[in-house]
Amino acid sequence: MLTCTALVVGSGVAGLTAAQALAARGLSVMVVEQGSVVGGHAAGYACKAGADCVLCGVCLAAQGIRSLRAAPGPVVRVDTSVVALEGSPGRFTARLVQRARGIDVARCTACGLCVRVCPVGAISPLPWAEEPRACVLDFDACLRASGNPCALCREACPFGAVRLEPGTREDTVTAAVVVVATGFTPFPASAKSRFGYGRLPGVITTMDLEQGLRQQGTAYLEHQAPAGRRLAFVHCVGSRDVAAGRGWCSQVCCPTALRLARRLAGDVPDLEATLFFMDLQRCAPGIARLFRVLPPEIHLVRGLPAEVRAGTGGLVVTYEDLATATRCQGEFDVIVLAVGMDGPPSVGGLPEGTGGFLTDLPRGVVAAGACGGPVSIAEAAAEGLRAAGAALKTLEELACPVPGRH
Amino acid sequence: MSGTGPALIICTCGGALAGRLVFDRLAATPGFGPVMVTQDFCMPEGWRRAAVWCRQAGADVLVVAACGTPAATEALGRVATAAGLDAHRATVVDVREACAWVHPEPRWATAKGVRLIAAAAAGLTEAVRTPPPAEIIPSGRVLVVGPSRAGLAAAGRLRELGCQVVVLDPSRSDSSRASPAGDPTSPDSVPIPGRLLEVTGQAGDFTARVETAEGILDLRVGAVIVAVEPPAHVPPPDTSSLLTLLAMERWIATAGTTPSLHGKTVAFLLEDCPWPSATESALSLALSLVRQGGRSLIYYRDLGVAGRGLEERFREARHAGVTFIRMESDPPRIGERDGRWVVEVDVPGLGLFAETADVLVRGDAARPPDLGDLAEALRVDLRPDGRGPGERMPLEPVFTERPGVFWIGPSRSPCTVDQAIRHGEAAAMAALAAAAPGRRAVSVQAIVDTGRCALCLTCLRVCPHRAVTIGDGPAIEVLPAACQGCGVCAAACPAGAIQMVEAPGRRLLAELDALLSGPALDGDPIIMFACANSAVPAARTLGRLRHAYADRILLVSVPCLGRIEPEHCLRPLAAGARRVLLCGCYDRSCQHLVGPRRARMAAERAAVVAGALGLDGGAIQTASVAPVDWHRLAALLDAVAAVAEEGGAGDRAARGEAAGERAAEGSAAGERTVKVGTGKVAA
Ligand SMILES: Cc1cc2nc3c(=O)[nH]c(=O)nc-3n(C[C@H](O)[C@H](O)[C@H](O)COP(=O)(O)OP(=O)(O)OC[C@H]3O[C@@H](n4cnc5c(N)ncnc54)[C@H](O)[C@@H]3O)c2cc1C
Ligand code: SF4
Ligand code: SF4
Ligand code: SF4
Ligand code: SF4
Repeated sequence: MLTCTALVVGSGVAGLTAAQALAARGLSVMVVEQGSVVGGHAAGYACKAGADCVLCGVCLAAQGIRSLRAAPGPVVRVDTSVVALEGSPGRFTARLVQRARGIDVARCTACGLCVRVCPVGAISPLPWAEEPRACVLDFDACLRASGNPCALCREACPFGAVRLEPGTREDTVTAAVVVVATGFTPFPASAKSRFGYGRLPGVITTMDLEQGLRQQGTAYLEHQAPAGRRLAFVHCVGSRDVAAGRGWCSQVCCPTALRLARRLAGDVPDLEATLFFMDLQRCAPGIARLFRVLPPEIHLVRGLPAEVRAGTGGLVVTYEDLATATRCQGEFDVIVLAVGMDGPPSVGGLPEGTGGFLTDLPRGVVAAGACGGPVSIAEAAAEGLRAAGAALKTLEELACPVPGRH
Repeated sequence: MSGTGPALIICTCGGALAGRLVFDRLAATPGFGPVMVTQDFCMPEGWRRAAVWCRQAGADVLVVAACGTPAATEALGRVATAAGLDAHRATVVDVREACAWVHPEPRWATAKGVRLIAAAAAGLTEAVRTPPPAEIIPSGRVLVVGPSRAGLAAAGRLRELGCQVVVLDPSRSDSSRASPAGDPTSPDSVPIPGRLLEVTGQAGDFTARVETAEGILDLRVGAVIVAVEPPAHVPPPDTSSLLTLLAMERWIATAGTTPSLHGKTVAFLLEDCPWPSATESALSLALSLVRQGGRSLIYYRDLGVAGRGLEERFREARHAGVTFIRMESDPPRIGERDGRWVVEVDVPGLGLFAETADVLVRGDAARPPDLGDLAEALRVDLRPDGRGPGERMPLEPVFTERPGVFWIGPSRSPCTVDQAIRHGEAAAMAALAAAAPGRRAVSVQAIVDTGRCALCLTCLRVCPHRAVTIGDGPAIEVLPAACQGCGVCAAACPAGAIQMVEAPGRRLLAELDALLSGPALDGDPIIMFACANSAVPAARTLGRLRHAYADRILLVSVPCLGRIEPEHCLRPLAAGARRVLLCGCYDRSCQHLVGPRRARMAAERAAVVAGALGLDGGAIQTASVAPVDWHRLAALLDAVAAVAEEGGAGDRAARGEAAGERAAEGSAAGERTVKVGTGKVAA
């Protein structure tokens, strides 16, 4: 059993900010992250700057991850989920399930020797990840899954970092206060079958585009539709949609679609992008100006498409242009669905409200970031600070001898 | 111990670098005394061994040639501590991601490694000793300017956390109304009518000069939170039929009810107001009017619903009978008939659509009061639209360029009630970090040589974090809790009187000189000054992806591009460098706000001088990149190398043998080169 004063569930922007703020006050803080890398969703997005930065906040997230090692800092456990939480202020217990990573994070230097010897490419050095800088072994792809005694990677590793035992390990951690920063789940775009996601080639989501741009640059677009230069962005996919059970505005998708469209229009010659929207949300910093001064390659159409079909010359979008009240059709090469944010993955013992977002948490448990409702990266950072303050307040009220206080 | 010379530790990364670097040649880097080759520097057993060795070698300067991982930097810190070395006399040179992994030919990778190691040693030898940390004894008290929702939320949270709070109410400062003469120093006092005149000092230890009914007084505070609101006009009496949203809100808040609006029609004109805050107040006003038996019309173009719960409230209002009218191009035409307003809009598909209303309410994006005096008192810049501090990524959403000063609420950007409170609580936590009682050690990053200082006050003007002040003497003083170590002052000081502890002026030049000599590279060097916040992490990612680029490109890490002086650009050109590249953040993403702009100024000045000296001024170039955008950096490096190649065609012919050799080795390397994405990846 582990102990800490403050437990932070999730290492996204909100969780990391809260953890760093609490650790800086001298508390012992543990961050538990279910993914293999730290940083949450924002750690996988692309920079959208053109001639100048467009304030998307992605490098802010990267900065937060890089400052993780500043002392005094929190303890971070990756590959570990919090599956249940119970208890009362001063004595919460969280049940942890740790997935085997195959590589000991503390001993891996990401030198890549194991990656080179693996005959089936089961090991990834995660070259894009800021933290931790350690490889990950995919046990499903590993030859040992089929009974083969291969241990080439273990032999190759000069630091003895390879651990070839798959499976999970359970553990518990106690904490006086808990910050829940479990983030969001992207709307599953295939649930809106009329847009053809997962069925029609060339239909992608903004999440795909963010990650593709980060990892492959504009070549990602080339992979989606070779020589495709006509892009359509569909707003509000899985948001502001009572029929789909999602009656909230996700707040970030309008700015994100515009920033992505601008970045692509700036980098890819002859690219044209059309944004299909209901209402443009321009409250994010700097966004009003970006919408006001649109480059000629970007077109705005008020009206959400009814459906996307495969046509002879590309993907055909039918929509009603609300500005002229006419039914129209357009042909595109790539359709980008601006997916909204759903609530976070469930954690046993935590009450969920509309859409799975967390509300009415018990005293001593504070929600931070997108798990309480859609937020942007910068707002998630502010949320982290706010939650740290709320957690400190609870500790102050408890006036309990805080376990593990430095 | 002197006499042994700097010590060098070379880490082979468990043998992973074997065959990619020639370790014997690295070990023979001139100028070094004892050399140790290890294979596990970042492992506990490795750094323990290194520490023992280092102590025995008696080195007073240590260079470790290893990788660019945080683990190696941490190990270095441990070795330095264990061996009793000053932290600023030890450094890691990344020969893995910056040489072995990105330059396929071991010969060139090694040559570059030797230069990097020699440069690091040259820089360290000239480095100033670490000054003792400064001590701050924070006041434990926070000043909140503006008893707005955001301000009161901040004050409330701070009190809950045991902080003393003083709330100043500038909107009542010149009202003659008698007000309770609160004691500003008592912890639970009510807001004090008063005006902020000046804030001097640094985070944790500010002196705020305020003007109250009692006169002018100086308060010692650890942090300042600005949360002023638009002025509280009490709107005209209920005969008025043309209001702004804010006026109507205030009116209802003061009057409690609006009997005069019973059964009336109110039209809200939000066509130029896509802010969620405007939607929020229009929705709640419209709903209450409809519930009182009146009619509400909301005209809009883009309904701002990007706030918690707003879309839900919009639907509730629609069901309750509020009429929403979306307009396209033209603004509504407003006329008068029989003492009532007539609002005419062109609705697509419906044509001209006219409605009559008793009261018109215009959305105003909650225009802030004039903030000029306040911003001057705080030495914080305003945006062109007159709102709170600059539209810069690193400042969002509660910070300002001045550490310890925070800015929240509608005078920063239009925000909903929920957001104002959240930002208030966030700012409270940020303020606590600066103001919480208890001694705090702050490392000193910039040192002023008062003997050299000409008191020209350039540093005072250029410091982006307002860390420079005039102390007793009079003498220039850098406030350590405000200084962020960007080096802008050191670069700008005409007398060269400011030294940076991390990269003192002489050190950067010494490093450059060493970097510009050494074993031949495949072509004349290209010096790239790289911002530690953006270009360095991006380059490191390139290294981890093993993306090949020209080995003649030599990165010099600087804390901020604002650190660069014209001389830094000229020195390489004079020593035969082909190009000088200044690569850092974008204007809006720079942590130190002015870095890219100052770099452009330095580059321009250097280009002029270069022309006079007969050097190629056009070889100095500035560029921006984000830390996460290695694609842009890769494209930039390729482009720079290609330009340098063209420019150097003449002397390349003279060095024909080198080129021939490269071609032979290059073709062998070519086979090991595969395409991934846009980049070339060295196998
Ligand atoms: C397509 C898309 C594009 C976007 N682009 C932008 C943009 O350009 N700019 C911007 O400002 N915002 C953008 N956003 C919003 C941005 O992603 C969020 O603001 C931000 O990621 C929220 O951070 P968070 O820390 O709250 O949550 P997350 O980033 O979701 O992090 C939550 C973390 O918690 C972990 N976790 C969850 N459950 C558990 C558990 N039980 N145990 C352990 N760990 C757990 C998750 O693995 C995850 O790492 C975008 C959103 C979408 C959908
Ligand atoms: S666009 Fe985004 S990632 Fe790029 S520099 Fe600006 S904030 Fe950073
Ligand atoms: S055991 Fe073999 S197959 Fe499995 S990861 Fe290691 S090298 Fe690859
Ligand atoms: S931000 Fe824009 S795209 Fe996203 S849900 Fe709101 S209105 Fe739709
Ligand atoms: S180093 Fe930067 S922050 Fe520090 S005093 Fe100089 S200009 Fe100001």
